Amino acid sequence: MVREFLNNKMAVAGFVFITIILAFAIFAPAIAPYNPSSIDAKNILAAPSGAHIFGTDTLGRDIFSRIVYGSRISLSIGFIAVGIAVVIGVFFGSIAGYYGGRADSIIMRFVDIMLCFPTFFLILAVIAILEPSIFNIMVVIGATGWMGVARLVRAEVLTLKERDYVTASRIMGASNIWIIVRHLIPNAIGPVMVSATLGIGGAILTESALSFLGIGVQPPTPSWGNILMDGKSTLGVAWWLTIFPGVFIFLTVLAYNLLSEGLRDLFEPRLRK
Amino acid sequence: MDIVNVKDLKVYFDSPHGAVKAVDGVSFDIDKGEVFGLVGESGSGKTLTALSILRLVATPGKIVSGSVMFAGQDLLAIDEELLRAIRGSKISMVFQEPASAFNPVFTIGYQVSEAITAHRKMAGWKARDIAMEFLRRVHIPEPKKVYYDYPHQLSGGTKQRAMIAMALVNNPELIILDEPTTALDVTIQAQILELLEEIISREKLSILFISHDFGIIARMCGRVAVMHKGKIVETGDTRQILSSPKEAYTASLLESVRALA
Repeated sequence: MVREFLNNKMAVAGFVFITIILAFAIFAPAIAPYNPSSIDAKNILAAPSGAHIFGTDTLGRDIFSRIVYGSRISLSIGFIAVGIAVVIGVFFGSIAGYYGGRADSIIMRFVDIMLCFPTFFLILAVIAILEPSIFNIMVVIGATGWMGVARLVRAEVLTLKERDYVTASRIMGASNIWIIVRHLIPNAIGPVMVSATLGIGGAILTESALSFLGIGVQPPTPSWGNILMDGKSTLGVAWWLTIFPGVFIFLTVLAYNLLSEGLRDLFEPRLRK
Repeated sequence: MDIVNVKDLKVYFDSPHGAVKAVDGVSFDIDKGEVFGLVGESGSGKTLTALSILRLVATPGKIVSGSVMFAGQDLLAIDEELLRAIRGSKISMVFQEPASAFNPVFTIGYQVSEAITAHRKMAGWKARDIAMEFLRRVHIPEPKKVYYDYPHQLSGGTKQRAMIAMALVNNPELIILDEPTTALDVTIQAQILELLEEIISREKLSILFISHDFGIIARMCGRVAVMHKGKIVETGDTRQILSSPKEAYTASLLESVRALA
């Protein structure tokens, strides 16, 4: 399985890039050459150079250091938001698929309703009412992103529950909850991981968009989105302020998409070309 | 003394064209220590009868009437919670298809131990020791290795042995064997039958043995019921039924086996 994965060069590239960003996030203090919040009045909007490889912003802060620290915010929002979405989605999806009937109808109609909302504006509205804290952003992105997972899990459970080992387990005296938790969810988790990986990229993008609009992560905490926003006003004179965080967002999301595609090929060999 | 007493069992399936009477008024009883056969062609309602004993008929099937008396209680009437305590501990079952009866994501040993801890509170290592002991008892070579194997790593015969071990771990009073050798090839079939004979004579188990193969039934069962279209057409001593069937259907079923042989 590992070898098959290694043969998929794009997926490996994605994996390597994600590992680098993960290292950025974990070892931020060791990697960042400067304090991401320290203001340097003599070096405002300095172009990329040996001292500041990605340049500095309008307050003289080192862009590279801010991107390194920003990876902490962006990645943790990605992971936790998707974690929340997966938990909610697996919960509702497995119940709908397993019990069927009325429970299924109610849950799936609720999913349909949730899917009708333009999610991004729903997030905007909710954040506007609550305050834009990192915690709120994670929860809101997670709470609006679980429907795909729920549908996926439901579909898996619908086929899995007819398997002999489920009947066997019931004959051995297993309860419904036991069967769902021990037999159905472990067998349905493959496709969920694929969609979760894709979802992390999406969540990072949503966070960046929110921060860019100023209702995401609040300054001075650096996130990729708000570094990008800082660059907006000086785009004409200091391209580095916009280009570097933009490239990082782009590459990270791309990396997650490639990884997700690689995982899908691994779990569903039939889709391979 | 009867271990289980099935009376007038009816299982119907609702369909747009009216109810399909899959099991239609089946009655039989199994003595303690007896191997009772249930024989019939595919679709005659054998497996459904067995599943009804444990009240595990899947929708849209429905147990319409009847009673299953076991240890002084009607299994079709008692509380689901009580029934769950009986399933797997007092009554267990072995399936036809060993390939699909194990969950592919867990090891064999884990699943056998799980059958133990589901009914008895005990430390994990203790359940593991018991599980390994039962894997040894069904003559699995290297039970310690097989314990940590995943289902796909084992042959069908070994899996069926493990299934039998799993059915035995809680010392049940009744074991339902639903075509336990049908999915296996002939040599493995002979081995599994030998194993079953050995276990049955050693442990003095009460067995409901389901099969479509009169040869196997003749070998394993003292008494047999012949099922056809959801009804039991004839019940009696196996040898007697084999030599002088009373019903025309039994005779034609026997004739078809002879014609093949």
